[in-house]
Amino acid sequence: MDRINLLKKLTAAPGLSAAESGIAAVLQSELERLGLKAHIDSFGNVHAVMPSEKKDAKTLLLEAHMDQIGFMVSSVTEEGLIRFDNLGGVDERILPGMEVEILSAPPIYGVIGALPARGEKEKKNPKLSEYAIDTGLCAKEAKDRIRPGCWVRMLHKMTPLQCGRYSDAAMDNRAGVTAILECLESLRGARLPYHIAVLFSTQEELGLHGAYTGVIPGSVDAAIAVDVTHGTTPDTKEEVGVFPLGSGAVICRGPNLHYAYTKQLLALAKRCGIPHAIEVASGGSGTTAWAIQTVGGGIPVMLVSIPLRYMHTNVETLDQADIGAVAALLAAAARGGIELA
Amino acid sequence: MLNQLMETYGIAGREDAVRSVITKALKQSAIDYYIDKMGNLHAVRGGTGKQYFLAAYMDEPGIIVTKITEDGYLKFDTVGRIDPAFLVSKRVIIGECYGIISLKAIHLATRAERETPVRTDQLYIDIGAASAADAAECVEIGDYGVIASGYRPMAHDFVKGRALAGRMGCFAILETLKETNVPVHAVFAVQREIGCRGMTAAVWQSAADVSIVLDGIADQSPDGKKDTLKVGDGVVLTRRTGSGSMDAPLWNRAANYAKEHGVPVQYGNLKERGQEGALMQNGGGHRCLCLAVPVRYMRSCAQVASLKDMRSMIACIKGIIEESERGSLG
Repeated sequence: MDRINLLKKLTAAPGLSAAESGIAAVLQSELERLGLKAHIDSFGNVHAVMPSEKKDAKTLLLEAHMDQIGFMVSSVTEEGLIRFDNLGGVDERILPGMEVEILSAPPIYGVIGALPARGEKEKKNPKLSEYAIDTGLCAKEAKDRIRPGCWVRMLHKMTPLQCGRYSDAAMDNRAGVTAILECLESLRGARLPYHIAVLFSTQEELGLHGAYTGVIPGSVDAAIAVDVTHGTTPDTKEEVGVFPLGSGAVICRGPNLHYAYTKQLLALAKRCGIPHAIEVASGGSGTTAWAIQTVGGGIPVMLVSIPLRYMHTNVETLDQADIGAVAALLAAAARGGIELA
Repeated sequence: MLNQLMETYGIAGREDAVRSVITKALKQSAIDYYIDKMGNLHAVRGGTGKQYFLAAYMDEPGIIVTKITEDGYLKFDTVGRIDPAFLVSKRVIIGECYGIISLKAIHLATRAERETPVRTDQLYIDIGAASAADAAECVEIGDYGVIASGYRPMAHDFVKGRALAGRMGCFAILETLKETNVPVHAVFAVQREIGCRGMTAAVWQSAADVSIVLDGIADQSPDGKKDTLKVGDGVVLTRRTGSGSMDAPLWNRAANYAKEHGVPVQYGNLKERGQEGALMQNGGGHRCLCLAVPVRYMRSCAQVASLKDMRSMIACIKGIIEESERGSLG
């Protein structure tokens, strides 16, 4: 399957944090399509291994979180409006006019209306807790059918833009997942120096829980976490740590990431002519690499990211070539481009 | 037919596609029509006796491109009544190409930025272009854009869409033309969104005995306002609008008719000056009544309204005509 169709299939699959079974099933079948045995563990994580012929080969883990942000119903008002909480962190400013689906059985369509800005002197935006979903249901029906705790997803559609750029919800982190699948596809039939373990983890947006539970202690010699990083927008030009779309694979450096392996990864990107850039995380990287680093007594971990504009919205925007660059870098590493000690 | 009317885009100044949908319906009903120099669509059924004038509008708000930046982003102005708060993270369609209106990610925004209402001049459209030259290949300054948002049913008779009041008015006129045989001059106007330009021109030298203007009115109940009009509780018989008072005998009769025949109606005043303003000041002055459907999130492209209210609007128009024909109206 080509990159865009795969990405589209993955962003379309439902997988809100702690409710990832939809995307997990799709990923299981995608891994099986690549000839790998895949299984879903009790925490919802998806696992697979592409084995090396060498029995005693070291294991390199490729990991990406598969969950996506959304909302959760907090209460139903006396007027039948649905109040909600953040599930992963959304900017209130994108809420007015947003179309959503409340994942009750059956799901219910709704619209988030707008509230007038408040304040005597200086007008301020309403808080998230003041917004509500309007379903058209009356209070009794709404209370009957919608329970607090129901997941709510943003409705979205993949939109092709100019210059190979695409916009959709859940690019964070289905783009990373796509890069790993594309890498595995390119490795089919190759003689691998390492066993390539794959983990698509749950609940990253809630606290990296899937990565903490899904990495099996003692089974991994090194890991590469794949995620998204911030893409440059006109209002972030002056910021540090944002990357123009088309930068390629963004390789992160800092204490969360293994120093020597990351150096090797950078040299590899240079050697193979893979477009790349360097990101710096002086402390936590804000990704699953943070969890993987300490599992089971510690795992050397690297972090590779795809630049993404408007992160945590329903219109996250990326350049498809950057997914390709990450896939190429992962494949080069898996083929022995980095030397595991 | 209603679906098509609701799905079709028609920003103020580019109403062509909506007009085509309506002319097709007029042809099917064998009703004569003409298009004036402004682009207003007039449907006319002649005859003797009382003359009725019906007014609705075809246009909707959107954006217009004002600048292409060096990096290939588009700056824009809003066209018509749309609140920039509703534009963040929305998709726009500009001719053949798609764009995204957005802001920097939440992770990079300060608390102050998140708390401050957005202004249009802060926003930009991202069409994916990597440079100004890339952008110029598909967009020109002055091009119009619409917010991508479809029409869809919600629970009960609620619907979500864009331009709901305008299109419900157009549909109500088409239904009235089909279901009555009195002399009617109906105008499906252009450019209501930017100050009723179309209707101001369309009523030039027009005359009628009874004029009914169809519009929308904000339902603010989701904002916690009490005693407000509510979507689903019936069409609003406006007593006053920003243009002045509605014709008293006409209003009384409409209210009585609704009561006698169990047509759900609500009462309220429109703050804004709508198309009735053009009718009251032009063409010798029409005796006007403005019927408005309640709409939630009026200045957005994800409006919510009720088909029930549209049906009660149609029932009211027919009722007013019926009463007038019996001679009980002026």
